[in-house]
Amino acid sequence: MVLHKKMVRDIRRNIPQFITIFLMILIGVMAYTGIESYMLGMRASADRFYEKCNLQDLDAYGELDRDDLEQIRGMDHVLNAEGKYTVLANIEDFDGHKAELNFISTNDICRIHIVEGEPYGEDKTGFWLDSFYAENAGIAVGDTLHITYQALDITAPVLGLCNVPDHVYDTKDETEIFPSHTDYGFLYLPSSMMTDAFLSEEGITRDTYTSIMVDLDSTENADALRSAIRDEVANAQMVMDIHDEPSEGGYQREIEEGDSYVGIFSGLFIFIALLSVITTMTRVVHRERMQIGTMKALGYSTRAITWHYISYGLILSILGGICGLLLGYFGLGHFFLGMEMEYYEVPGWSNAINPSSYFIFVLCIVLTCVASYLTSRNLLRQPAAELLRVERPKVQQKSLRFTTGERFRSYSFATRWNLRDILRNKARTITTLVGIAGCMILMVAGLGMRDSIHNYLKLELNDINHYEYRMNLSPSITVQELMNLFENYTDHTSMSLNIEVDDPDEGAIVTNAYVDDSKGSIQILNTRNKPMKLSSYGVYVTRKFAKLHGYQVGDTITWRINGLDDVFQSEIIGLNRDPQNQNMTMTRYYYQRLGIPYYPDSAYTDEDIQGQSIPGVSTIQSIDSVSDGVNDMLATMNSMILLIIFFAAVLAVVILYNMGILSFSEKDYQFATLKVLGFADSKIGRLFRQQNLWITVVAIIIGLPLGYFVTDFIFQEAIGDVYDFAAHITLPSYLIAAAGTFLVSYLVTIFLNRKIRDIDMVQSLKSNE
Amino acid sequence: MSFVELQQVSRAYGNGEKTFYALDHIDLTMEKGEFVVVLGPSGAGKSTLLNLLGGMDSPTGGSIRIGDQDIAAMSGKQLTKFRASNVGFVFQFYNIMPTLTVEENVGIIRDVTETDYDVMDVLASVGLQEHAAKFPSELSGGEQQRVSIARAIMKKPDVLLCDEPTGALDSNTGVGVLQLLRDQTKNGTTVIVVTHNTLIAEIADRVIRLKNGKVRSNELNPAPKAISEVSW
Ligand SMILES: Nc1ncnc2c1ncn2[C@@H]1O[C@H](COP(=O)(O)OP(=O)(O)OP(=O)(O)O)[C@@H](O)[C@H]1O
Ligand SMILES: [Mg+2]
Repeated sequence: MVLHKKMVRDIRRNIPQFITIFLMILIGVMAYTGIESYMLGMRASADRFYEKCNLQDLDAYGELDRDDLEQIRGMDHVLNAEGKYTVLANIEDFDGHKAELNFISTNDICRIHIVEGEPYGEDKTGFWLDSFYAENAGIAVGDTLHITYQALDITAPVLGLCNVPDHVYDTKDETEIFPSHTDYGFLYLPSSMMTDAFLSEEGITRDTYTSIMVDLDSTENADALRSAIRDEVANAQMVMDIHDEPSEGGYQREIEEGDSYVGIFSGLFIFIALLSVITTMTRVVHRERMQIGTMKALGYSTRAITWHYISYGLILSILGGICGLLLGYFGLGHFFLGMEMEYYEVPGWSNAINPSSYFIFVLCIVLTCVASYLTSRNLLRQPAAELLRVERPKVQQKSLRFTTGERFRSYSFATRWNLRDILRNKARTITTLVGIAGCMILMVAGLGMRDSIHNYLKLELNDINHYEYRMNLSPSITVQELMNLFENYTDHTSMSLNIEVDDPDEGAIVTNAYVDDSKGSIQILNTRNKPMKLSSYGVYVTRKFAKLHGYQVGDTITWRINGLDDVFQSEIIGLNRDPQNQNMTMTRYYYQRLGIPYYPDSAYTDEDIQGQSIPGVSTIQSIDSVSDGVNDMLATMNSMILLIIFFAAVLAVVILYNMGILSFSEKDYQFATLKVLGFADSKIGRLFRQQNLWITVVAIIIGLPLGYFVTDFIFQEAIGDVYDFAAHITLPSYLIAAAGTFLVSYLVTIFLNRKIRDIDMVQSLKSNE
Repeated sequence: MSFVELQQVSRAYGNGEKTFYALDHIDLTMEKGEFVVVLGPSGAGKSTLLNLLGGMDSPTGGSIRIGDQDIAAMSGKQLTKFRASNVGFVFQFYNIMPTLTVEENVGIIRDVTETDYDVMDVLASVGLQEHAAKFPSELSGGEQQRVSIARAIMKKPDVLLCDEPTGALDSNTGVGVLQLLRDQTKNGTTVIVVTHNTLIAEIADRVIRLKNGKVRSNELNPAPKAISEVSW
């Protein structure tokens, strides 16, 4: 009972240290729980959505019809299949806005989730529109939309705003880096609304499909069915697993990004918490040496006293951990998830707690107790008589001896004193160093991430893409239309293909090939990010592709185009580099020599063709609109970076303040003596500040390269296989990070400095330590 | 005019009705180069007196003059300067810096005031020249106290204030320390030693007795004994 009272008083006396332990565990557990919870929340929310709306397992693409549909439905393991006819149409009266029209009939697979309005019905006449786009464009249920595509011309009311499970992550095309939902959305409508004019012009029926969605009994059979449909259904040119498609694929990649920093972030804070536990417990136990001796003399067992000291850490880590769990789940996790869900169309999202958070929570408690136990063990074991002897402040002469040599004579007394103080208190010095270096690393990484993304965009916008407008050519473009395009606009074109590489070790690698005839509109970069000229006697693969799959220049690569039976063997004649697509590249000349016809799907020009309607061109995209989207994304990143910098500052303030208080209370008696001897407060202040200054400078120097490596690690290793970024951090970012870290350190030191003025010489000298 | 003069000096603690006088309107005088011993029971106000004389604490009333300086009227900055150049301290628990060597502990004085003395000469005068490079923890208690005396005399102070300088030492070592302190009076330093040990009073030039914050007596010793004659 008495010990409990003592504990409460002790906690009160060591408030700053105990708050540090509490806060660091709180932040560590919160960061972990929050990040894990948003990642799991994204996954679980999408899975719930997929489950509820019956997301398809496979999509078969091609010019498909009723027979193909029935054939697929009849295959083993297939529960159901439904067709869909998709075209990219114009939304009239909305300048340049595009809608992906999806004509469907029944809707048992990939069901439309109604956000507002009436449920989908085959026999209704109207649109079900992308709810995110509708909100941005200001379109409401009941509004009338006018849609045109070739001969198609439909005016009908919006019956519902919706989300659809295969349009969770929905970008206009590959060049849109982040879904903006501003000038592009998806739109569902019954195939009964296909007009006769449209049917006859396209030469199709209401039972023609551009894709068939396939629902399987089990995802285990996806691979087998994928091959089976491709081989057996003649019209199926390509079959994709839903997980490889842009929507689910992009969504999953976003989730995996969290993995890259959750460890670094929470590990750092938990590490600091443990260091604080060690320094604080050392201090408390040593200061209470006499008390411990007295308690022992009074008959308390060593075990009772040990438990007493462990319980400080136990209580603080339990409290900190619980607060961390709660704040992580309800605060950080919810906040992060909310930010993500501005881009991803998943209805009814909520974050979820990852069971591993409880593990981290328990781990923190155990580590804290072990650290307290190990710290206090030696002292607590000593017999009462030993503890009750007055302890002289021990100076480890060996480690300090070298500082008394000739070399140090020329240094001032303050320098020598600080040097020895650092050597005497290694744990405290290291903790401070780690805290400030951690702050520096976080600041460099935060700013560096922004720089690196900036650099990547510069690469995309300045180095790779050399055109003002890109035309996406319709798959149904006629030869005549193509000729006209070449004559009147541009003959800079390219073609993208979905391919599979047959790898002797890995089997089929799904990737794509880029066939270049852009005449410089698209630059291919070499491994040093400089433009290179392509040769036509072989193919190029990106260096990351080569690294991931074990290819080298000179190797032969075996590949096939989805939808075709031919297998090609090509020599790899060079490596190129692409920041966001790991694929194969070849010239048009090489491609045609393989005996395959070249159908361009993109054309590039510098002429101003904005808003023009060019036959055979489905969309026109200006490079400016790309950079606009990019700026939106950078703005989002800025708030993330501010958050990181804020945490960095909190980290540094907490560590510096605590270690400062610790360092101060160890030495207040020495400071009082100096004061008595006639040292002015300002002089003692300088003495005190000098040490922090040194440690700060060293920490900044350590933090600079480490910050770079952490950023580089995030981009190179953790961000996903399709990207090939390197950290690219500019000098101003390093300078800002260094200045910011220094400023935080300086302010805390100045704040602590005020304590020197308050030293009461008379009180401090009444007893010895 | 005496070298040290206190007039109606008080040091009160607490406020309002429960004011407690650690020193209660005392008048005192001491001369230059005197060896003064302050005696009194625990709680009498001895340390309080030393703290006031040393400018570590300020009186709540009265005036203190040392030489031509009025300490009671000084600001914090002036007091710091006064301590730096005029006062030497020797404490019961030595109060030397654990991370500085013996030589550095004495040499530290050069950082706050000018002095003609050489560190090694001063260390020699207290018999510590061979220990110059050692850290305090490598010294005995008596040696540590001699370090603190060396530090105090390094600046050739006007007043040397010693609070129980022999309290933690055995008899022989204590005698050695007293001899060192006594020697300082030859340079004109007024040495003021607070102690419980009445035997020490026998070697003093002046003996001041305090009780309950008041001066019971302030007498000159007509025939101070030589230090070699006392032991306890
Ligand atoms: N900060 C304080 N607040 C209140 N009273 C105090 C304070 N400091 C000292 N006193 C009181 O002032 C009186 C004189 O204290 P002082 O330290 O001068 O005694 P002393 O003569 O040196 O005793 P000792 O021989 O035990 O060292 C004591 O009764 C003490 O209780
Ligand atoms: Mg006293």
